[in-house]
Amino acid sequence: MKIILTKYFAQTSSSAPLAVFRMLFGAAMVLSTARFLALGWVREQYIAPKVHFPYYGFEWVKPLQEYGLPEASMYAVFGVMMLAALGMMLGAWYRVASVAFFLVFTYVELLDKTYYLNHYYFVSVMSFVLMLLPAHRTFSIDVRRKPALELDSVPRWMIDVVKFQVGIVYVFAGIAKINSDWLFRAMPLAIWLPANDTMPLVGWALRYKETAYLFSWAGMLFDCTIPLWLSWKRSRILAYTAVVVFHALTGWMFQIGVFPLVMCLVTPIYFSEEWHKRVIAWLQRVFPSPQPSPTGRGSLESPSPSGRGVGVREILIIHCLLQLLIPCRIWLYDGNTFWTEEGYRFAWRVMLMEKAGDATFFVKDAQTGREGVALNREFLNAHQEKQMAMQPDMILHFAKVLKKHYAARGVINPRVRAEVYVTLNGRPSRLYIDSSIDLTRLQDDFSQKKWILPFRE
Amino acid sequence: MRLFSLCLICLCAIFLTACPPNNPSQGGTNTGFDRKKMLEDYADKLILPNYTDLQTSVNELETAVNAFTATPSATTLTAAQAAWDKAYTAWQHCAGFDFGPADQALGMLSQELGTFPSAKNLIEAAIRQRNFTTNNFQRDTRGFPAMEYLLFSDSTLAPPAERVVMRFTSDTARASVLRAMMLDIKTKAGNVVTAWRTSYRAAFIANDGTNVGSGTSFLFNTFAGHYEQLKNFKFGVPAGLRAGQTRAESQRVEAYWSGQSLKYAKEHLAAVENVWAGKSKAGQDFTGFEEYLNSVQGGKDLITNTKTQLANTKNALAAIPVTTTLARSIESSAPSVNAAFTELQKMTRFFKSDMSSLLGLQITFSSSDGD
Repeated sequence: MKIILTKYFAQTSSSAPLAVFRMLFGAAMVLSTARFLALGWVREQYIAPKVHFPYYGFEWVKPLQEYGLPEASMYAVFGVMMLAALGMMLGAWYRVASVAFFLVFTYVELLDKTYYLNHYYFVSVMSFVLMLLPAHRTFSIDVRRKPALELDSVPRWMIDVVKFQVGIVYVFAGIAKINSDWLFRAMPLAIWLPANDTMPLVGWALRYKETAYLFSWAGMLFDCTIPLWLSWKRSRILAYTAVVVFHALTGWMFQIGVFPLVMCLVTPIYFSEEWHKRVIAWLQRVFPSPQPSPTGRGSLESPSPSGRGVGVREILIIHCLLQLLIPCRIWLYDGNTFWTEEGYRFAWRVMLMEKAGDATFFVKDAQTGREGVALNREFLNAHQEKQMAMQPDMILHFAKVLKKHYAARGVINPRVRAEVYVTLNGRPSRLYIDSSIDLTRLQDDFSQKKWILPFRE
Repeated sequence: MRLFSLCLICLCAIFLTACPPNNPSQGGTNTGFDRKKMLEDYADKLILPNYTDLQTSVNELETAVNAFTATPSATTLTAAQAAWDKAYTAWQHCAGFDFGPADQALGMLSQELGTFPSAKNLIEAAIRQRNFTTNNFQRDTRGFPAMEYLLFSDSTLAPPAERVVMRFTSDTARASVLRAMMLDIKTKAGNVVTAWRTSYRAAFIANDGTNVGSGTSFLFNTFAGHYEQLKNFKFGVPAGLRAGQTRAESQRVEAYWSGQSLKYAKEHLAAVENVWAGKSKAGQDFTGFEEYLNSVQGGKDLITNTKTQLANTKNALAAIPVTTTLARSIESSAPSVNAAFTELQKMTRFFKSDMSSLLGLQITFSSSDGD
């Protein structure tokens, strides 16, 4: 075993795949950041809302204006993100740029779990991996600045770790689709597809129940196995075509933003070394280097001469193990995961359910006994209200926000309870949590939330 | 590599066209549920007729107001009050279409024409200082409720009509403010009606997808919002059922001065039901949300639940005494008002989350993981 591992870690590979990956990923991030800015989401999501829903343990992460900085500073954060993404793409001051991108992007994601998206989480972990790899040492501004940096080859595991990170997104998403609603009720696609029946070309077909079943099963098989088909040389062209068709279709039909583009740009990591070399060669023709080609091209062996490569390797091994474990935590909780959402985030559970809730919060003055209904929209934007009304940890947080707000306005020791009705995959809505419990007395943590009512068919 | 570049170009094109704000879905031939037909029906059998009724009654109101301000008397006042009642009743059936042309410079049409309670002090100050204008964001100084204040205030005291008439005769500025309010309503409502008659009807119907900005999404969102107005502001707030309220605030009912709050609330509920069921004001059934729900999975259950709850809500409203005003009922027979609020509250999930979820309607532009 040890010999196999030693042998594996000694293998080298061309550095071209890493460089191409860096450019494609960077480009996707530039586009994604530009889109976010252009749609006015900085203000809408991070400046305008009065309330934010922090992640457990990260309650101290707040929008900059809440630390007393001017509102415009949130735009500066996105400016830095943009520059960092450009730096990554071009390989310019890559170490600084990639670390900055990881930090800034993750900071923004931590501000409010309303906007949690699996692909944002993917971007965070991918940029974490990328900042530890020498992706800037082939065809980059940094190499033009310091030709000595240039590398021809890197340890093979460095390419594999990227493949692994991309692969688990699909595989876990595929495993998550193996459930009775998805496979035997074609839910939620049976709701979503007919809603898109005005799409050009394929719209007419989306109205049929059979189409929803076909898409459900095909989607599950696609997600579970696509890394395999991409890895196998003989099926690669077909597999990548499938990737593009799959993501284009979903991108067209559903509001999933840049996710399809990101996935189409990261999957080429599975292509052959030769393909990546050809891309680099083509790029070198289009953007010829002003200097003569450097002579001393190096190769990064593992462990690297400086010894730093060892540390990075160990960090990434731990990272990969965590990536395998974190999505599995849903199995530690009882009950229907779709219903309770315990362990639902960070587990590549994408586009799996049609869920919506209606939450009415009752604030009671402990002294007078007078109880009144809070107006959620007075505190939350439409997106926040929608997400909050079906996620227990957000319901809990909002109850505490209400307590604080009304206590400050003279309600004595406010008790907050909520009547929440949730509909899941087209079933009639049902009471979601114990509507008599004072939510402000509960603490959010990772233990089973006993106050969530059991899921009933 | 060529394949890759080709795919990339296609993908970029998709990415750009799929950006939410400019994604009006193209209509196609429909064999299942025909959303285009539904939108057509809504436009032709509900929205346009209701707006037309509004315009007609607003014109009549204008005539009556002019007659009253020209010669203030008990007779002309009574006529103006009756015309106001008719127009305001018609308005209840239009306030739920707050999209498209109703989205105006100083606010939504429903805010411009329907904000209550009116800021009586601001109105009186503007009359005194002769500086009344509708060109500001003080929407509680204009619209139907502000006109109601001028036409009805103190008319619950005896002798009613004389007091109102006297106020108008003692200060002519009062009449010009009333006419300015009238003109404002007529202009703003008129703009919306004209837009629907000319260009907007076609745009509304052509946009027959389910994304944000589609006709169906607009209609649904304003329908849900209109319903919330009834529950929260016509019952919840005046009955003191909002969080943080320490007592009932009965003077915050709709139509406080005319004392007809309950009648308009019932009219409001009827308007909401008409949108849900796809039914014209005259009771003619057409293809609406009910039929749409009937065509999707889980829709039949929701229809049954909604109808049951609608009946419960109507019964609860019917149980509030009609012999007195809603404001007085809040003071004296609060349980019946609170019960009505509870029934309205129970209705919410059927009209909002359950409905949008079953129909797959988009509520916000933001990206999501589909949950």
